[in-house]
Amino acid sequence: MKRVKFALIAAVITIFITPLLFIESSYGKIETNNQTTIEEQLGKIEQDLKSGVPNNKIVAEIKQIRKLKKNSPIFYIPEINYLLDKKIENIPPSSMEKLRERIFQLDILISGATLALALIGSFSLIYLADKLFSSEFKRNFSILLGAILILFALCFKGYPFYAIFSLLAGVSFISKKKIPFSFLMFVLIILHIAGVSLTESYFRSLSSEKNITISKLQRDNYAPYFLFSSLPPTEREIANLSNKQALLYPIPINEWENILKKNIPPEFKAIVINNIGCYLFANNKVKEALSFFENAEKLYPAPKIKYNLFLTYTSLLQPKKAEYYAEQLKEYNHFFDKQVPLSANLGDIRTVKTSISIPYGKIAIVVICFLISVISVSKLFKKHSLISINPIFSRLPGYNFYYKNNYPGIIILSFSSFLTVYIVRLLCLANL
Amino acid sequence: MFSEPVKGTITDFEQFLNLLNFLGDDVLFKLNCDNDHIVFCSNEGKVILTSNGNPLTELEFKKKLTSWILSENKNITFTIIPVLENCPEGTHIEKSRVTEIIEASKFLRAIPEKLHIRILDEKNIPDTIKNLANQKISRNILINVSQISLIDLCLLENKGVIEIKKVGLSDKLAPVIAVLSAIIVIISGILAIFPFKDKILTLTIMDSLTNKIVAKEITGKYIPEKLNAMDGYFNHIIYKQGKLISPGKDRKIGTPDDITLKLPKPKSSIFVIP
Repeated sequence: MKRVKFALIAAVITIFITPLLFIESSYGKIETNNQTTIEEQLGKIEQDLKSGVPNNKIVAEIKQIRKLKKNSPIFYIPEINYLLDKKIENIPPSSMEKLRERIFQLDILISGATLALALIGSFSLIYLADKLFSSEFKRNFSILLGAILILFALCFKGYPFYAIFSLLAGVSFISKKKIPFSFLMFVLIILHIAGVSLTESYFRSLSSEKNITISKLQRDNYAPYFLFSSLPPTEREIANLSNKQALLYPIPINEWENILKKNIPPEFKAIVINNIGCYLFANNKVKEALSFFENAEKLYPAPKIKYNLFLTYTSLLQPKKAEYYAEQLKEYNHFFDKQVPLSANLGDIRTVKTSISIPYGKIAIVVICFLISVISVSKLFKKHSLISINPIFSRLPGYNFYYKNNYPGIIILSFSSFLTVYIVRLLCLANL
Repeated sequence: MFSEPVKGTITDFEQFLNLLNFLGDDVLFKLNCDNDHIVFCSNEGKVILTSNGNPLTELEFKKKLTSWILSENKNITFTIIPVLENCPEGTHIEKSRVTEIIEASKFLRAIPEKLHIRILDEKNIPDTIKNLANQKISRNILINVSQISLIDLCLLENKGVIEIKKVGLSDKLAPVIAVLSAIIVIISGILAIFPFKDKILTLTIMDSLTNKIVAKEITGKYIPEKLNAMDGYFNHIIYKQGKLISPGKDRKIGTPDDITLKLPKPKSSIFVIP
């Protein structure tokens, strides 16, 4: 209900504001060809910052660029914040930034699990050696070999890591009361695999230039030109023209029409037709613009096209139809801040793709090694000696939790591992 | 308390001590090791020990326990049986003494194969030990001495009356190996804290810095070579010739493990990547 009310308020405001747009909107002055573009205004700020002009001039230029932004289909200009090294624009995180944040969070999960595995794995190893050998030399030597294996696993990672820690996880089956530690290690290994797999997927997604372009266009509605260089020629042409239109460059209508003549998929046609509609709307041809927006919607019902229909119906004083479209834009509240039609780009027909691949190989290695270890330990070493205190390893922090089957103690130890990694990472990433 | 006997396996000393604390006047506690067994019968805070129907003295109990603990691959089980009759005849030992013996037997395996006993306090030492002190002796000889058991040595060492020194090479090496293993375990712990996917984390950190650095390049602001941001190894990220470089694990720049990100060179004033 709130959204509908909001849409209606927006509609009423727009009814009164629209006539003014035809006079004041910079977007509407396309035909005059002498309008300063957002790119040019940014260039001015850069030059002035380089030459160290007084601050008040920069402030005036910032005001000017924000005014241009208000009358353009651009939502945010993060360049302002970076150039001035200040938070002037309140910019929401892009999908790429969210992925980066997830990578940082997953890194804490992975390293925390690695630390907990290294500790519990070492304890299992010490306990097994103490169970199997009476001679101090033999058991310490076997612990040394195991510790070298753990170090090898941590240095070489990948398959050796999962194989060695799965073997160590199964070792706790030597005693009934130690079995929960075995399952805890198994869960940590699975968490580790899931974390690594997700991190790799997110990073693949982050490294894709196409995803970067889409993410930038979805948030800001424009992107740096160098991001379009890897696109196929027609897509590049559409992206470049749409970008320029968003940045308030005058785009002659015949350039769009030339693209329409090409054999392009319907969603690309929708972008072109919508952008022609924007051009017409800006040039006071609202009724003609409406038919373009309607055609674009038929080809690909992108939210921006729907918003343009809302805006056009509002301008044509048809609030019921406008409300119909406003209701469909509940997740796009920020559109309603714009009083000009929104040009579309690749971000409106594509989504950021994250393909998560299930690491069957690693899972198979973990399950096989775990089972081998469990069977060997419970069958081959069924008869074992009464354990004796190991004078050196019993002083290892946390070993007593394992030795005395203190389950809450081991859970706290595992939690501390995650906390330690969290604090270490916090120190590393403090200045980001 | 029980109408049926309760059986189980003893896997560690803590479990053994817990069972002993549980031992009341209404149950018999039978400890089995292969064909041998010891029966603990509690009577008003004291314990009477028997084995194969014969009473067991404290020394015999210690000797039997020693042989069980030192023999490898032995399965020690227990049975708790409800008491139907009074305890059999035998030596009465305080329950606290039995606990003390079991606590001391934890350290049995720490006694080396070849040892040297050094007396620290002559007053409380049995004559047998005095005779064996200050010479190289084998653990097996001590096992066969009739007047004392290895557990007595553990008890005396715990009280600080004697010191057991290692003589054999493998016994001397054992603690060195243990320390080495402990160091490797600690190094492993430190290594585990560092990023598992270090390249991904470092490149993601560099990605987050890109816009700030490019903005400084564009406006001609000073960019220090050593940036105020760090990678997962606590290395400062280096800015050099339009590139961001992380020195990697070895913390040295110019080595193969360096992680490098080339910064974009935008030809327009639009430069921010999401």
